[in-house]
Amino acid sequence: MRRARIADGVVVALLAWLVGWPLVVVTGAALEAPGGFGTALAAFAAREGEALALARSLWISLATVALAAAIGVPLAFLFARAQFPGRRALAELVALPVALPPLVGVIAFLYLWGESGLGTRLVMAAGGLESPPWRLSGAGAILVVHAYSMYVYFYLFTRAALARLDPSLAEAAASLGAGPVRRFFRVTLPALRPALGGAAVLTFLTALGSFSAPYIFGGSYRVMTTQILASKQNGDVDLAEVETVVLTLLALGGFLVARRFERGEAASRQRGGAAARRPAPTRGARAALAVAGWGLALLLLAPHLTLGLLSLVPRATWSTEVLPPVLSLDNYRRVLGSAEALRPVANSLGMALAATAAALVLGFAAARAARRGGALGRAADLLMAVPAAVPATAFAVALATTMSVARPWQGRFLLVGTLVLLPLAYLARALPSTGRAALAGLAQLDSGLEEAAASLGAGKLRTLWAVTLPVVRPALAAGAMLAFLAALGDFVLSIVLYTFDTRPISIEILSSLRLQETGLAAVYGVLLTALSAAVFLAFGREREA
Amino acid sequence: MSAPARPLRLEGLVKRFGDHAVLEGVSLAVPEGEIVALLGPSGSGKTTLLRLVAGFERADAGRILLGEERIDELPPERRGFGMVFQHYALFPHRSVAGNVAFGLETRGLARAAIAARVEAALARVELGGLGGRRISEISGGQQQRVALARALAPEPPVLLLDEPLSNLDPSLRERTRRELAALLRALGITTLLVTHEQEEAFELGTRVALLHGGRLVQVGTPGEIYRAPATRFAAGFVGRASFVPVEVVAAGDGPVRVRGAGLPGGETEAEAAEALAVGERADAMLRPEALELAEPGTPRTLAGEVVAARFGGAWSWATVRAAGGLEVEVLVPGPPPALGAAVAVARRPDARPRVYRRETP
Repeated sequence: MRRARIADGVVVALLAWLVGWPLVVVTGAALEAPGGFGTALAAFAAREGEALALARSLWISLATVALAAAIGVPLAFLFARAQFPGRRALAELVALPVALPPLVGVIAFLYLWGESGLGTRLVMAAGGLESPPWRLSGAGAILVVHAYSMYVYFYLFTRAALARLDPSLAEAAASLGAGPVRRFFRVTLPALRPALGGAAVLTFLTALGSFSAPYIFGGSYRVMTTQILASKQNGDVDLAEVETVVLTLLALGGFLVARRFERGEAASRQRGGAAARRPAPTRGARAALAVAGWGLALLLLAPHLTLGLLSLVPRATWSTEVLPPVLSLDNYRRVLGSAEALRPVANSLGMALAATAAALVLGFAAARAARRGGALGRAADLLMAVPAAVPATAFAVALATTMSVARPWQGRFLLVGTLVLLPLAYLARALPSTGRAALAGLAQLDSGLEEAAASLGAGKLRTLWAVTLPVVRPALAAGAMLAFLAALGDFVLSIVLYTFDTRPISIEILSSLRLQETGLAAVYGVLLTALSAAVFLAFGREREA
Repeated sequence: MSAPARPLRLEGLVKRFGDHAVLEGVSLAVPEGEIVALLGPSGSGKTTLLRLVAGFERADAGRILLGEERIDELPPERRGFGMVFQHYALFPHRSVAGNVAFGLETRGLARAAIAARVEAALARVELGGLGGRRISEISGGQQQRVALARALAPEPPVLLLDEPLSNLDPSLRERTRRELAALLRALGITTLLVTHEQEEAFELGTRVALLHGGRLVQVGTPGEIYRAPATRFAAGFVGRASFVPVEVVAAGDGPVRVRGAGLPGGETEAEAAEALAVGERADAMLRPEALELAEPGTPRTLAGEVVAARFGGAWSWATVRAAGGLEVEVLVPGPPPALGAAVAVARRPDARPRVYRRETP
């Protein structure tokens, strides 16, 4: 027992160094700004651009929650409650964007609805328009892209809650005289409230930390995340640090609300019965449902399909035509045929793999410590969750600040510009996924499996190897998958911390775009999407096995 | 099949969780080959006692001996006891055979030997041929038997069973209980069993150890405990019983004489479960089969009204409420009397009540 506690102490110390310390250092740096934090904060508040960016971040996040709910909740009801051909496959497909890197989604959206996007050209041709009917920039564009990518949270949460919902609740209400409308508003919706609350907080935090959409579409319309990067790139490090602290505090507030919701949801979790899936009464209604289901799914997945199409368009072959005149595998040859062009892919794979492996070990150790309880356990539990709450931009700046000087006695090492820093950041961001997964897996051991192993003569190591790890493996695999996908497709940490030697796929996509190499950018996007989908599907098979 | 059976001895076991004493000095001997059922209500400490023996908890005081060897300082994996858990704790990632093989693997047996013993263990619980199934593919009753086969396969000197039947359907429980009893007796393995159900303890246990509030109340055969419960708690917990307030009118070394307005049959000689003084107020315990119904107005009977009745085929049970609210339960042949019927309760001539000191509320 004492040895286990010492190991827990080491784990907590490591977590504190990796996750907590950078936030402390950046806060300290902001406090030491000339004139103190008060002055810096006052200066921050006084600058028009700063207050404006903060206000924009807030209202965009709130509006994103409303829009994402408006798409995700009806979609969940459609796929959970209606019966039409192809429903099962579509239901999974619609959830796929959760596994796809945000940057790829944003680029795909640009290719479809941007000024010279495929969809825009089609609309212009259909309406005989001279110029595009919209411009994909500013708040509107950010909101549309957010809603488009973040509906998945509401969709998945609501679908899961509907599957858990005891159908006899609605039946009981019906037997007490409640009609369908009253049943929906008085029984079903209140039962979904914890799930909707959880989805809303998650969406809010994601939108608050969202970087790709504001970076690509925002232009001069700055929100907090893009403002931080701009300050940093302008050399105004003090200001960037103050902005980081402000954004972090805001997100941590949301995070604490989220944890309360989570507890509420755990308490209201009920045993699920067979979901009441009614076939539509008439043939016409069934057809309408099927059209609606297929149509929505197609609309939501159209950007990624466009990305695939545009990866086949060779450089400088598509100017004013509605549809690209030439399709070939030329772009793929250019990427796959060159070691230099494949370098970012190898970088991303290697760094994601290393970060995931390390996060698995650290997350598992942290989860074990958390389950042993006590002050160390609570510290481990909190620390491993923190990276989920802090926006990636803020964390990257904090890490860069901390690791920009060589003061080993303070736990600060000169890592900026080295190969180590970016994978280390991926590792920190992966901890919530692997740690939570390990916690969920370890909860399954409650029924005395470890005691059973001991009663059969297995010592500590054998129990860990032959019972504990195999039982938690499916949960760990799920956590590892999420961690790997996030690291593989990461853009936000990378743009702050990458070096030429560690440049990942996302950065290569961005530089291809800057060079007007839309085809090459699309190829990298497709490769990233394919790798992500492959990992996602491989995991699905593992789960079934 | 098993390793030579060895006696298990518990000496003065004390266990506290914080300020709360769960076990307050329990001593119990389980002779080799005997099956002792630990019976008690929830919170009596019986599961804690079993976990002390298994090694999942450490006692604050006392010793546990297997044969002559002191084992309470060994970790569970070095005690070599077989244990069946309440929820079975079967390894979900291993097949039926993989579960049964686990304890043999930890003992470092050769693969061929393991396979043969797994097959034998499964055959013994009538699961032959199901070794390849996943745990999720077999029924609850089969899972219970896999848990038993897994615990028995390494041929442990002692078998520990924690509420082994509580997770089964009532319809399955009775049959499984019978099979389990037959198997345990055939194996002749030293067994400690925890249960809160009297029927389970009586059918499975060669002896029953009654626990209450962290103390052993009584250890004996089912017959001994039923006929002569040591305390008023034991009398009420084991079997059905009515308690009638009485006063002690004569006391000596042997039986006492008691008298009470509510006592059918009037003043009588009774067995004293504890030392009682003349004039002391006491409770006389009467089993339903010690009482019978008589015509209303019969002398020396207790008049009352039938307030509850349970049909049981050849025999039925009737609860009779007398003046003052005193209720007694009577075993009657054939169907029970109608609810509300006015009846008289008599004591069978050969039945002697057992008397306990009145518990001051």
